[in-house]
Amino acid sequence: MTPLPPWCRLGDRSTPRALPAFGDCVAPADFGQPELEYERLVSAAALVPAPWEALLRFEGRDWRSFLHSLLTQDVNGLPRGASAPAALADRKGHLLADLWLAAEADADAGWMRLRRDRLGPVLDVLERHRFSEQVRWSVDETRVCLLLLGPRARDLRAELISGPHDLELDPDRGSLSMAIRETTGGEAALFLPPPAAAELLRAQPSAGFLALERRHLESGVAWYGVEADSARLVPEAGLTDRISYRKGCYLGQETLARLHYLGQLNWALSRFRISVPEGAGLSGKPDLSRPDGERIGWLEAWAPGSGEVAALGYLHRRFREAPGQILAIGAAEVRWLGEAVPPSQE
Amino acid sequence: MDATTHDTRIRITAAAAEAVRQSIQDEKMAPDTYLRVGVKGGGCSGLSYVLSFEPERQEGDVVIEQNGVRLLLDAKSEGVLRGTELDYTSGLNGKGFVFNNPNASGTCGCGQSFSV
Repeated sequence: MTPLPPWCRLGDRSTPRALPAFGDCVAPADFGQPELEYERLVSAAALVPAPWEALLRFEGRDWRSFLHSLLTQDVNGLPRGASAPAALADRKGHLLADLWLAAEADADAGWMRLRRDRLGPVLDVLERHRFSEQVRWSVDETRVCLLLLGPRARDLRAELISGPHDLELDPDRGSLSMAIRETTGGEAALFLPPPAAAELLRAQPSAGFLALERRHLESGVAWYGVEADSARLVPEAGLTDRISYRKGCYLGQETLARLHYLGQLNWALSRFRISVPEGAGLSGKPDLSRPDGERIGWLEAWAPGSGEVAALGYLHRRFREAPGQILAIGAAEVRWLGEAVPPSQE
Repeated sequence: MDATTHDTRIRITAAAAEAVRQSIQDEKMAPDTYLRVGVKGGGCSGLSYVLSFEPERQEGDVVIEQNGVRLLLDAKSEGVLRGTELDYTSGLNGKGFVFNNPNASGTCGCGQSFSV
């Protein structure tokens, strides 16, 4: 089972509609109908409370060039009103934070969405690299996040949010909507004052963390702190759409460009279906092995329960040539579905 | 602010100073133009050098005068550049300013950025 961030806990099912204040991180497990909530994410659309999400606002003459010189994405080329995924890497290309960026349509300012437990490392890097650049940033502590997910998320977003841009701000409601296009193309992260978020949850289809976790494992987009961390190169975690290979220098670019043009990944995040026998509990990061016993990777996360469930793990490149092959993990059987690399923007 | 000071926190070689003076003359700038020497975030290794001409100093700048050139450093860059020698090379491999920074623990392949 995918763990929540250690500083975040699963909410009490008896009070699932309570939304936490900023500073608390309580994710409702479900809203009483976990299967229905999962189906909403698979075939329709739903709002999922995501109290682990944080927002940073950037302004000042140099905000774009400053972030452009540090992040993997082309920030200078980000159109007004648009959003894009990005990453902060260390100088060896290891993932420090997975982000979404957006530029305001009507003002020269930008927003960054990231996990709250990455705020500290990101702010530390920003502060250490700011010299004479005119850039300021502030952490938004007034809003909580609802993720709008599912194949019909685009339609629901059109009902809830007025305006054509990826980033829409509504000063009257105090809300911010950022398109995130993670898997189905229509998703968004909505940041609202807690009362407005609770009201929206009551009025619209919702889903809890358990449904989100299941969809996450099936979609194969890595979560920082779960399937990806600072030990992984950004492309190893399948986050290739975070990287622009056309922009100039940024932190970690030398390694990532060399890897893209000249090298190959040893390990890559991959999607699996694992067949878990009744009573065969999995724990830790179990090794994946071939029938002859050779270790060829490991699992990072898997859906709870027995039978055939979705999982994510890393597979060595020597064994990434035959999707569908059967691997072994203790008593369980594993079928490899293929790499979890989202479509590149290149 | 303090008056102009002579300092060894950053050293500009005679060759670099001559190249700076020549540029000021070629670009028809005022003879007392400052050369800002600094650092900015970014680049493969995280930090990049900055060189620019400026007509006046900014609040908090350190002014260092050597070999007839007036250098400007902002306070944060001064900490990263302490002990650096700014040189100018001219040879078969090209010509330009070179930072010999004892604080740099690594540089990227193209030499345009560094880390401390």
